[in-house]
Amino acid sequence: MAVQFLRRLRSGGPGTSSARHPGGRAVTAALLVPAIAFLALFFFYPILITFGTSITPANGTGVTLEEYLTILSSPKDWGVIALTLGLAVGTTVISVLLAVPLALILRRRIRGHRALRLLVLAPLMILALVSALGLLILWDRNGWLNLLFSRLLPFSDGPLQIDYTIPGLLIFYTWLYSPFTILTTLSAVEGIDPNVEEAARVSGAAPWRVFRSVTLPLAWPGIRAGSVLTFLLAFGAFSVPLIAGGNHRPLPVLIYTEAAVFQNFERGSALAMVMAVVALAAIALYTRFSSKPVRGSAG
Amino acid sequence: MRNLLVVCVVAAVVGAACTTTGPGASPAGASPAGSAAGAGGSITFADTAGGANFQKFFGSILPQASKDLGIEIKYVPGAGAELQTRLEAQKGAEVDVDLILLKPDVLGNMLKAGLAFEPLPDHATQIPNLAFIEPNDLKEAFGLPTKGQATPFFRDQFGLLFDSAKIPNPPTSWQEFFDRRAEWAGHIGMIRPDAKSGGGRLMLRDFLIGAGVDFKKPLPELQASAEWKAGLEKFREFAKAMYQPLASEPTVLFQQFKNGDVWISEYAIDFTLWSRDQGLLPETMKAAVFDSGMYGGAAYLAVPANTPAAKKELAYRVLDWLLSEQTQVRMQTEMWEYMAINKFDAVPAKTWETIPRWEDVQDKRIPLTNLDAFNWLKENGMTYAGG
Repeated sequence: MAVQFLRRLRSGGPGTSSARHPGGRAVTAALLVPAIAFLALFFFYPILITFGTSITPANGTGVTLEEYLTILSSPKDWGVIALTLGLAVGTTVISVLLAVPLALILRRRIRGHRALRLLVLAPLMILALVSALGLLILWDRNGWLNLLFSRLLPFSDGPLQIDYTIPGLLIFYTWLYSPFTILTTLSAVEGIDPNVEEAARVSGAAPWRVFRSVTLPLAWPGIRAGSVLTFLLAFGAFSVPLIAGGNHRPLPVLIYTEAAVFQNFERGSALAMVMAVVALAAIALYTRFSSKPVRGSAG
Repeated sequence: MRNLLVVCVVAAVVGAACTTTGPGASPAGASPAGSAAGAGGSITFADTAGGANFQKFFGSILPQASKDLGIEIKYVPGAGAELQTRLEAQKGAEVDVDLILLKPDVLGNMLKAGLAFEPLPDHATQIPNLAFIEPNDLKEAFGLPTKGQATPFFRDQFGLLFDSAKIPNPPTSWQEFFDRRAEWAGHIGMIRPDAKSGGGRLMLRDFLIGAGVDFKKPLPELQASAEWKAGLEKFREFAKAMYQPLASEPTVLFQQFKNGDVWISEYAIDFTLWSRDQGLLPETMKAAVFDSGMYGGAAYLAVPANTPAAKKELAYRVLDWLLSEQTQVRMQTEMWEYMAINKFDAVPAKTWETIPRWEDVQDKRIPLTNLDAFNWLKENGMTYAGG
């Protein structure tokens, strides 16, 4: 029985039709069941419940779209959505800008590259809430990072206002979420065959041309995967804006306030659904446009 | 040789793990410390009232209680609603919780749900320290008739908290605080009224009470009153002198105190001064309570009526230990909670340099009432607080 199963698995490579292997469809279904059950139970079911709550009036009977209409007609809520998107996009862009040069440097195995790789992982090892509080302290007007930068920057005439500001949130988000982009970019860059770049150089391409036409296109899948992760994590960030955002309170904090503090589960659920739709739409747009090969790509 | 070394290391690790997870250890970390601990039996002590500070406190005192009494105490922190559900499920049978620490609202909910607790005055011989509790405190908890089914363990108090290094002469009333707000403009702190912590909305409520708003009135009547409208406008004016943005949670307020952005605020005396002692706030933090009153709460100890008889006997002994002068004074000096027993003379005089004496506070304690108005402040407070 087991041998037959293994044989069936081994023969069921890509392009194998169920017709050729009558049991193939059943095996595929059986293999999919755990994943589908898991998703149904822990993903789709909670989403369904959240959606149900969002369209149920406070008295518990009937169906209403009141919460959605309130959100869509509220400039304040649109502002919150824009803030959430802006922070996520900003963090993703900064992360990519940091990740690519860093990956290019680290792949050369420069002295201390191991320590640098470990340092990149540091934010992932610390609880976000603790990180948020730590960053708040480091950047407050007596914080040593603030003191250092305010002395280094020529235009500064006193402590910088970083805590509770949007630039501050971007710094904190980048610290926390850029490792995802950096790690995947590094992995992609290290996977590039040096001979390909060498061939381009030998053919007379300038370093910038090699980077733009060879390195970047080949590393792009890694950059794209990492940036999607960074985007999603920044879009759903909660602890950092709660602690360090001041009056800049993105969607997750607003949802938490509505549900956990005001006990307004209908509005909280509606906001959560809006957040999910916005995130899906943003990712769909991003993957659609970023899937095109980078200009000058060999492929 | 290398293999031998690995075997030795593994054996040492396994040995250490066995030692720490042996019969003497408990997950809550409140297991008995002495050899006699547990010899006299064990009880489960559920704490639904204490925060992080109390979990640490119990972690430090309960091993001593276990050692002194020879009783193993399993300390289980958790939420009141959760415990109530469990106790309701165990109605009519023996419960698996023998001693409970709970806030008055949780106690009220449990009594309303028909859960019964032992009348403690009936067991005064087993709990001699009950004699030091004010008799009225055994009859009711903030107006809730308890008929001796619970005894106060500590009394928490909100107060004006200020950095005495920056403010040597703090205000003595909300009016004075309002009048002198320019002196501390940009340094008056507050937790957002819409935060998970109720500290900010309690500050707003106490401010309104100081401005003459009568919270005994129902919300619609309150909202129609001139005092309410004037009080809110006065608060809006007051908030202009606050440090912005307001703190999202107590830890952020503490950080604002620590870095010198905030010098003065109203919040829980116990948690603030305990956090000060942990190094999270300036050492020069002090507390005061205005004559118009500030929020005051308490936590109560109770023994479920359907706890097995043998466990009840142990629970009374532990309860008596918790009400002992030694424990209560520690709670006053380390936790900054007002003691439940009337033995304030035993408290080192130095304590009262940081917080007001109990006799100066006891008549100024305002419990949490009028939840409709309080919830209104929660949802609308930011409109007035500068959000």
